[in-house]
Amino acid sequence: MKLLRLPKRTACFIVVMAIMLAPGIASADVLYSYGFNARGIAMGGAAAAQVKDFGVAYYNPAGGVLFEFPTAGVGYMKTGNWLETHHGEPAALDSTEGMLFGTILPLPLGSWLERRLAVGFATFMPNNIFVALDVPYGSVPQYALWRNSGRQMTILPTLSIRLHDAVAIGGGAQLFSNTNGEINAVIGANDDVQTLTGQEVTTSFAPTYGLMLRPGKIWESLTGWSFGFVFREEFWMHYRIPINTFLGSTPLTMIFDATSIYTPRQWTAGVSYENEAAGFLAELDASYNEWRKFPDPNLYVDVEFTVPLLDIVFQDSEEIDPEFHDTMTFRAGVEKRVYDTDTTGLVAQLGYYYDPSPVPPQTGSTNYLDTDRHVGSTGLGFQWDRIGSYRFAGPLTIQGFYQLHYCVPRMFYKNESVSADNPGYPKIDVGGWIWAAGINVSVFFEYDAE
Amino acid sequence: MRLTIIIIIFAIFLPAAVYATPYDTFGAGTRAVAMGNAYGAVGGDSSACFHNIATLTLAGPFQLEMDYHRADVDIRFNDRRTDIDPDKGYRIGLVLGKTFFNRRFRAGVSMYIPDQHFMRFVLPPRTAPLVMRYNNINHMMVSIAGLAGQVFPWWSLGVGVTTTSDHLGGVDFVIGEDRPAEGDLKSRLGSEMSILAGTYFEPLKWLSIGGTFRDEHQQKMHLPNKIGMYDLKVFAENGLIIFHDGRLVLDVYSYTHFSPRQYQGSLAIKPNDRLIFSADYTYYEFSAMKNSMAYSVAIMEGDFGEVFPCVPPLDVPDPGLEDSWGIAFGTEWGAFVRDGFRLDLRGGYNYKPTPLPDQTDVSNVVDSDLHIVSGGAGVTVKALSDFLRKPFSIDTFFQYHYLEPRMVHKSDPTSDVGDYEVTGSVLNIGAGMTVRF
Repeated sequence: MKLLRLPKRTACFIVVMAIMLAPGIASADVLYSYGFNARGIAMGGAAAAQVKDFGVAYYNPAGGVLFEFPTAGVGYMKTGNWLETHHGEPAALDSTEGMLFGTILPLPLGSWLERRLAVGFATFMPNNIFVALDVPYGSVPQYALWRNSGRQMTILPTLSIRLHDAVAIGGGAQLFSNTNGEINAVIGANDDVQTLTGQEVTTSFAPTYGLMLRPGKIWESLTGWSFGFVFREEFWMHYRIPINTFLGSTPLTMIFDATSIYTPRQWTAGVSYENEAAGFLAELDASYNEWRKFPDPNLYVDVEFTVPLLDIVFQDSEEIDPEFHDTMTFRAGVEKRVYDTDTTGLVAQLGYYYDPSPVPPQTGSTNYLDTDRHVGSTGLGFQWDRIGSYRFAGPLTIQGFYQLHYCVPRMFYKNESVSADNPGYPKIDVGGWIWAAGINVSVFFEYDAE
Repeated sequence: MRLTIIIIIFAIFLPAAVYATPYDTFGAGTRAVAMGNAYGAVGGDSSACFHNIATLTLAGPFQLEMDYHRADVDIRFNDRRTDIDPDKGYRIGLVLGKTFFNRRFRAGVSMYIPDQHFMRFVLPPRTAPLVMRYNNINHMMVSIAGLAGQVFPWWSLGVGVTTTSDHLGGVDFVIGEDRPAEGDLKSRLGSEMSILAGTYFEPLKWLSIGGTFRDEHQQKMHLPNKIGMYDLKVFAENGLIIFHDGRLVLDVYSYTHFSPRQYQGSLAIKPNDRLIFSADYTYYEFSAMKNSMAYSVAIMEGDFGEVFPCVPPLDVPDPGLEDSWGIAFGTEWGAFVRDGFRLDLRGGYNYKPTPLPDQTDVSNVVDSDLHIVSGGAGVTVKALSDFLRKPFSIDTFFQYHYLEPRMVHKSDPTSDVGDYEVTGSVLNIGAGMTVRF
C-alpha cells in the first residue's frame, strides 16, 4: 500500500500540470498562407510595389502615405481543400473562414507635415476564434504548415512616412501572443495543500518594414514604374508553463513547452509597371523565406521527478529537429481595366506564384505532409465613382477573388529505423488542391472639414 | 486523502470567481474617469463606446486618442494587505465619421490593453480570499467597437459590440519511465460578442439625456483533459509492475469575468459653455451570473480507478450575487478659457453598493460597498502651429476607490479562513491625449 501512495500523489500532480495546458503548436499565419485582401490575392500576392487599395497595409506598409485620400475596406474569405493521402493514415485539414478589415488614414496635417504621415491597419479575424490550436502526436500525419494557419487573429498596425514624392518608408508591428505561466504547490506531511497558479497571455510583436520607390516622380521616362521592398520578421507563438511542486521535501518539476504558428522571416522585392491610360498594371515579386529556423512543432514535456528509494524516472519528450530549409517564392500578377464608363468600371486580375516546400523528405518518425505548390488566382472588381449625386473621393469597389493551389504529388519512404506501427510506414504521400475565395468592399473618402 | 485530491484539483486548475471588465471597474477615457464616469450624456470622444455609444456623434470627424493609467490596490483582509498586483495599461481610441444629409455618422473603437499581456489569470486556492472587483479582472484586453448616427440633430442612436473570449481545450497525454512523454493538445480561445446600445437626446440647449444598455458577458472555460501513464515498475530489471497503465479523464467547466447586463440613465446640464453637471444611474443585473465556481467531473480508468475511486466534486455554493445599482455625479468647469486655449477642471463621485451577500460558507469572495472620488484637469489648445489645425488635448485624472469596512461571520467554525473584515482603497492615476484632424 505504501508503494501506492507516492504514485498516487504523482498521478495527482500529473493531472494538475496537464489541466493548465493551453495553446500549442505549428504552421504559418493566414496572411502568409493565402494573402490579405481580395485584390492582393487575385494578383498572386505580387503587390509589394503598388499602391491601389487598403491591402497596402499588409503588402507594403510604406505605401500608405502615397494615397491622396483615406480608404477602408472590409471583406470575407473562406478556404477549403481536396488534399489526399493514398498511403498511410489520412490527414485532415480544416477550412478557414473569417473577416478581414483594413484601412489607410493619411494624417491631414499642415505645414511641413502635409502629406507626410499615414497610419494603417490590417486585421484578419477567423470566425468565432482568437486563437485555436491543434497539436497532434508528432508521428500523426499532419499538414504542419497549414494546420493552424487560419485559426489565429491577425493584427497589424502600420505607419508610413513620405520622404519625397519618389520615396516612402513604412513599418508595422504584427501583434501576437505568448503564453506563460507558473504553478507552485506544496503538499505538507499531513496532506495540507498550498498552491498558487498564474497564467498570462503576453503581447509580443514582429516588425515589418517597407520601402517604396517611384522613380517616375524624378525621371519622367520611368513614369509608371514602382519598386517595393518589404522585410517581415519571423514570429511564432510560444507556450511555456513550468510547474514547481514539493511533495513533502521531494521536488517535482514539469515544464511544458511549445512553439506555434511559426511564420518565417521574409525578404520581398517587387517591381510593378502601370499604364494608367491603358488601365493596365503588372507586377513581379520575389520572396526569400527563412524556413530553416522552423522549430520542433510538437509539444515538449520536461519531467524532473525522482521518486525516493524507487528507481522510477520519467522520460522527457523526444525533440526532433524538423530540418526545414529556406525557400524562394516567385509571384506575378496583372490587372486590366476591361470596362469603363464615366461612373463605373470593371477591373480583372490574374496571378500566379510558385511556392516550393521547405519540408524535407519525411523518412523518419514524423509525418509532416507538405509539397511544392503552383498557385493560380483570378479576381474581378466592380467600381463606382458615385452613387446618385454623391461622388466618392475614389472608387467604391466590390472585389472578389478565387485562388487555387495545386499541390504537386509527393511520396515519402520511411527508413529502416522507423517502427512498423508508424502511421506513415512504409510510405506516405500527399497531393491535391487547396482553394480560397472571398470578397471585399472598399471605398475612398474625404475627411469632413467640420 | 480523497478530499485532498479534490481540493488540489479545484485549487490549482480552476479560476476562482472573477467579475467584470477593466471598463466596469475604472471606467474608460481620461475625461470620463475624472468626471466620476457620469458620462452617458456627455460624450464627445471614443470612450463613448463604453459610456453611451450614441454620444459618439458629439466627437469630431477624425480623432485619435491614447491614454495610460496605473492603479495601486491596497485591499486589507483582517488588516493584512492582499497581494494584488497594480493594474496598468493603455487605451487606444479612434473615431472616424462623415456627415451626410446634415446628419453626423460616426464609427468608434475603444480598446484597453493591459501592460505586456492580452490576458492574465491568477488562480489562488478556491477557498482563499478573492477580492471580487480587483483580482484578475483588470488584466484583460477589452475591445468595444460601434456605430452611431443622428436621426435628427437633437437625437442620436448608437450600437456596438464588446468582444471577449472563451477558453476551451485540453490535453491528451501519456508519460512513462521507459518511453518519451508524448501527447496532443487542442486549445481554442474563442471570441464572444455582446451587444451594447445607446440613445442620446438634446431636448434643450442646456439639457442632455442619455440611455444606455450593455448586455452581459461572461467567459466560459471548458478544459477536458486526459492523462495517461504507462506501466510503472519497481526495478526495470525485474519488470515487476506496481502500477498498470491507467487513464484519467477530467472535464472542467468554469465561468469567469462576468460583466452584468446594465441599464443606464444619464443626464447632463450645461448652463453655459464653461460648465457641465452630469449624473448617471446604472442598474446591474448581477443576479444573472452563472455560478463561477468551477465544476469538474473525473473519470478514472485502469489502475487509476483503483487508486482514485471517483468521488463527487466538492460542492462550492454559488456566491449568490444580487442585482445592484450605482450612481455617479460629475462636473467640468472651464477654469481658464482664452482664444486658442482652455483649461478644464473636473471632479466626480461614484457610489456602488456591493451585490455580494455575506459569504458565510466555504466561499470567500470578498467585496464591500464602494465609494469612488475622482478629479482631473484637461488642457485644450486650439491649434498647434500650422501643422495641426484642430484642437489638441492633454488630460489627466486621479481616481480613489474606498471600500467600506465589512465584517463577515462564518457559519462553519472549521472554515479555513474564519470570520474576516475587509476594507481598503485603490489609487488610480492616468493621463492621455486626443488629437483631432
